[in-house]
Parts: sequence; C-alpha cells; structure tokens
Amino acid sequence: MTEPIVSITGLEFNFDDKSKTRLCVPKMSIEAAQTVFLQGDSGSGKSTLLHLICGLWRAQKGSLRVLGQELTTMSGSERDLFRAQNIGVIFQKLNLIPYLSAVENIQLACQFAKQSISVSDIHTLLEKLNLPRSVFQLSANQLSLGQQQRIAIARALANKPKLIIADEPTSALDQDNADDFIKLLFDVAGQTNTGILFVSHDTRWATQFDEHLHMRELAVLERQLAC
Amino acid sequence: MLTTLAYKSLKSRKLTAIMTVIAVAISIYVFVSVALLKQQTRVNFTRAVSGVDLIVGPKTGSLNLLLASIYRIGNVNSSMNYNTQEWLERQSQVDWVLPIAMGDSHRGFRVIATSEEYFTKFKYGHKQSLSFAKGKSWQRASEVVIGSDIAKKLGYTLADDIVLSHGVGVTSFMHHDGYPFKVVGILAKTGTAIDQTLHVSFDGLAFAHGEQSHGTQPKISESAIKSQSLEHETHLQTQHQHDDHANEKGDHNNRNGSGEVANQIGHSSYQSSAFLVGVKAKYATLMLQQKINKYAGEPIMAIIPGVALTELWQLIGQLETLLSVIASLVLLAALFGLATMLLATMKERKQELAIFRSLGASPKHIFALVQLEVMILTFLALVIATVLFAVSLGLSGDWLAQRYGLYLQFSDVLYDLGQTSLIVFISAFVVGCIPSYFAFRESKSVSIS
Repeated sequence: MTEPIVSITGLEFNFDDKSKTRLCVPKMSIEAAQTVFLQGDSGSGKSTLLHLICGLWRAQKGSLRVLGQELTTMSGSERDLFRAQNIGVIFQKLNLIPYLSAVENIQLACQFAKQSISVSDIHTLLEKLNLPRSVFQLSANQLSLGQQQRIAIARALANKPKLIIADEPTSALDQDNADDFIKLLFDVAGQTNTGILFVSHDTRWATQFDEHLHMRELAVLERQLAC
Repeated sequence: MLTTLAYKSLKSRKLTAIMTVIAVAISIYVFVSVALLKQQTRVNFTRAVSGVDLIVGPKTGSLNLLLASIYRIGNVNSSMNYNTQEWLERQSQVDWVLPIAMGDSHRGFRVIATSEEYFTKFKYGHKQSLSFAKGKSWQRASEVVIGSDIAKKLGYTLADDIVLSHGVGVTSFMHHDGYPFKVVGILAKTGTAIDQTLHVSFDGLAFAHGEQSHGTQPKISESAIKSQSLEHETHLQTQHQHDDHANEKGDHNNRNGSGEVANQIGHSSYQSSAFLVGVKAKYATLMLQQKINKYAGEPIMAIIPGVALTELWQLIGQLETLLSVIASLVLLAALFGLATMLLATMKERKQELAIFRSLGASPKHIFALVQLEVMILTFLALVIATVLFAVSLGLSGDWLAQRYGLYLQFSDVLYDLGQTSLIVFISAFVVGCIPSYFAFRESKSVSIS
C-alpha cells in the first residue's frame, strides 16, 4: 500500500467562537502502518488536529485525506460512518459507556460501523489484551482504570481500522499500567498492521515510534491573523 | 440497537427513572380517567334512552325527570293518576305507553313497578329490545324480574326469594318482610341502569306494601276478578297507602291490619312516577309534547330525552372542560418533569455522548437515543396508568353505576384508551424534543479529549 493513511495539505480550521482562532496545518502525512508520536503542549492545537482527522470537526479550507478519502467534502453523517469503520479512537480516560459490559461496549462500536463481530471473536480480542474472563460481563464502571483502557484498545481494534488515534491514553494510568498499555497497543497494532497516531506531552515513549512530530513545527495556531 | 441502549441507560439510573415513571403514570392516569369519563358518560347516557321518544312526568325539572326515570338518579316526588295514562294511550300519535312507579329498593338497587309491555317495547343502545337471560316475565304479583348485575352481584337465580325495602337507600330500616318476591326472570345484560333494577308489576308493588292477602299469592288474572268484588271495601285504605308510597313519606309501617284485609287493587288506583312513551311517527313527537304539556287533568310535562340530554351536557360541559384543562396541565407538568430529569443528567453524560460520537454515532443518533428514553419512560408510565385505571374501574364500577348511572366496562373504553395513548405519546415526543435537542446540539460540538 503506497497510499498514506493521512495526508494533509494547506488545511485551515477556524474555531467557531469569538476568539477567532485559526489552526493552519501546511503539510502532514502518515504512511500505512506507521506509528507516529505527536508531541505538543496543551493549547498547541493537537487536540483540534485529532478532531479534524477523525472527522468530528470539519476544516473550512485545504485538503485532508484519510485512506484516500477527502474528509473536507463529506457530510457529517458520512464522516461519522467513515470514522466508525476506519478509525479507532482512545481517549485519556473514561473510554467506555459505563452501564455496558466490556463485550457490549465492543459490540456497540461494531454496530455503529455497521459490521458484525461474534462474541467469541470479542473474547479472543479481550484475552489478547490480558483481560481475565471474569471481567467480560461486568459493567465498565466496575472495572479498574487499567482494565478500562485495555478494553478501549480492544474496542478501537474491533472494526479492524487502518488507524488508531490515541489522545494521551496513559495520562490517567500509573507507571506500570502505562508501560503495559503501550506494549499491548504496539503488539496488537503491529499484528494487524494498523497505523497509530499517538498524542502526548510525555516524551518517555517517543523513541519507540517510527516518527516523532512536534506540533510547533507542524502547525500554526493564530489569533485574529491570517496564515 | 438504540432501544436496547436507551433501556440500559435508563436501567443504570434506576431510581430517578422509576420516580419519573411513577410521576408520569399518575398524570396519565388522571388524564386518561378524565378523557374516558367524559366520552363514556355521553355514550352511556345516550345509549340508555335510544328507543324512548317522550318521557312524561309530574311537573318538575326536565333533567330531574330524565335522570330519575331512565338513570335511576334522584326521584320524582309526586305521581300521576291512571286517568292520565289512559288519556295518553288514547292519543292517536302514541304507539305505546310504559308506566313506571319508583320508590322501593332491594339492598341498594332500585325497584320499579311497570307493565309487562316494558320487556317488549323498551329499547336501548341500537334500538335493541330487552331479552331474558333466564326465565320469563312475571305471572303473579309476588314475582320479580331482575337485572343482570343484580343477579351476578347478589348471586340470585331463578326461584330465589327476596324482600323489598321501602325507600331507596342501601340501609333501609323498613323492609317489606312479610311479602317476599320470587325471582322469575333475569334480564340479559344491557349496560344501562336496567342491569341494576328490579322490575315488579303494579300489583306486585301493592303486594309489597301489604295490600295483598293471607300469604296466598293469586295469579294476576284471578286477582283482577277478586279485586272487583273486594275493591269497594278497602279502596280508601289502598289509595291512602299508595299515595304514601309515591310521596316517599316513609310511614308504611302504618299498615294497620293489612295482613288480615284481603285486598286487590284495580288499575284505577295505579299511580305512576313517569310514563315512557313511544310515538308512531317521529315527526309527531313535538306536537304530542305540546299537547301533553297542555293536559288539564293534572300538572304534567313531557320531555324529549335527546333534548334533555343536550341540556345536561351544556350544564356539565364547562365542568368537563375545566377538568380536561386541569388533566392536560397535570400531564404536561409530569412530562416537563421527565424532560427536566433527562436534561439534568445530560451534564454528567457529556463524556458518554463524546464516546458515542467517537464510535461513529451521529448527532441524529444521539437525538434518537434520548427521545427513545423518553418513549420508554412514557410507555412504562402508560402501562402502569392503564393497569391502575383498569383496577380502579373494577373497584369503582358498581359505585359509578349505582350512584351516577355510568356503566363502564374496561373493554368498552379500550378504543378511547388507544386514542388517549396516542395523545400522550405525541405530547411526550414534543416535550421530549427539549432534552433530545439539547443532547443533539451538545454532541455536535462534543470534544473527545
């Protein structure tokens, strides 16, 4: 596969608020199965960039192609379905619907992606992430944070996406759990050739990634000014 | 899938959900009750009088006469002579005349005296005649035909002996103990006041009041012969007692020596509280009404049931409207309570919405999810309200029938219930749009980090 997972040229996004802030990303790309570490301080616009890449927000100018599809011209619901089917998202914490079990959370992701997955496949996936069978049917709010984040990895992978976006997924974990999380993420993503866009301000794991990008080199965040 | 999700989401907030459902259920119960009572009252009242063209009674209020003669509510406090009945029957427009005398009761159920024609001429509902579920009409003065509800509730069957009481209260202190009646007929169910009425002949009424002799129960035909020979001896006394009865003065214990006096009454002493009249042709009704109102023999009046009913609806219409408005406001308040509950939880569900969005749910999904929660809560409330309604109908059915002449059957109100449910669901949907839209807007600008 020669086509990049993400390819951005001349992207401009105006915040829909009174500050008239604008984020400009002249160029960025992520190749297939590449792991990218994106570093940036808070307020540097990295979160905004993630929202754009996974299609929650839409840029007003420029081109943003994900898996060859131009996101800036898609409708809202097209982007929603595209995200469901092609991108796995992992947040800082509280990734799971609290009143659903681990298995149900994963089924939910598949339902929004209009794909089906068998319960035994879900079990295999969860076991791969070192989760004991006893927690499969517990509702999410009964699980430890470490367990929840691992289930989040399983869910992000359930639809066999080409890209996983992880936004500070370890920040709420202690050292051991965080190390464990990174190792597992790399293991399973490596097995399925899934690209990773990992965002953090903590550079501890940066060297393990194929590429290390800095927000300040990548993008310009401007207030009341043109690019 | 969204429905399961909405259900599980509500289940995770069990306590608030249950409290909300109860509040909405109570309001729906009030709303449904008022709406159904309103509709059913009209259906019921109209149904009971469909075959009667005119009601003739002593001069009184037209509503009073209507309610007393057809629905057994209240009383007509004076009576009319047999001459009047004869005069009525002589009118060329008149097809039939059914005399009715009221005043006695049996364990809270009204007793009326009437003629045998009542069972063939009286029409209700869609012009149906009365029919006997068991037995037949009376042959003797001491026989009684009972309505189906009475047979069911008091467990009476053919050949049972019953004792009538003077007056119409449930606890009458004066029973006509010495003069038991035998049940010879049980009418089929009509869904009108007839189900709760005991019917005796005019001779039977006299029998109950001690104008009958020696414990023997002669056939009516025999009694007529007998009465001719004996009438002159006791006529005055009979007349006196009958007046008493009609006037409800309640001094029937003053039956001086009636047990010893062999006595039958003649037609001429029959006193009626009302006459139900059928005309030969409808167009003659108004003319006949005017003629009756001008009758010189005694002060009487004629009313057209439909017109009197319209008067009744006008009278209670404003009250009904007021009740409906209150019921609607109660429902609205409860639905807004439900919306508030969902809105209040929306803040803590922000993260949940963000997760849904990250998984590929569109804001429309979110709107649908919250709206589904509204619908599930409303549905549960509706089920509870319906059960509550059915139970209270079962419990208060007898009371409504006896006190207000309302014969409500749960099966009868099912159609109206469907209509009312639709109104409830539409209102719930409209009010539910508030939290749903809020969630929709919130999820549009949701931030996943």
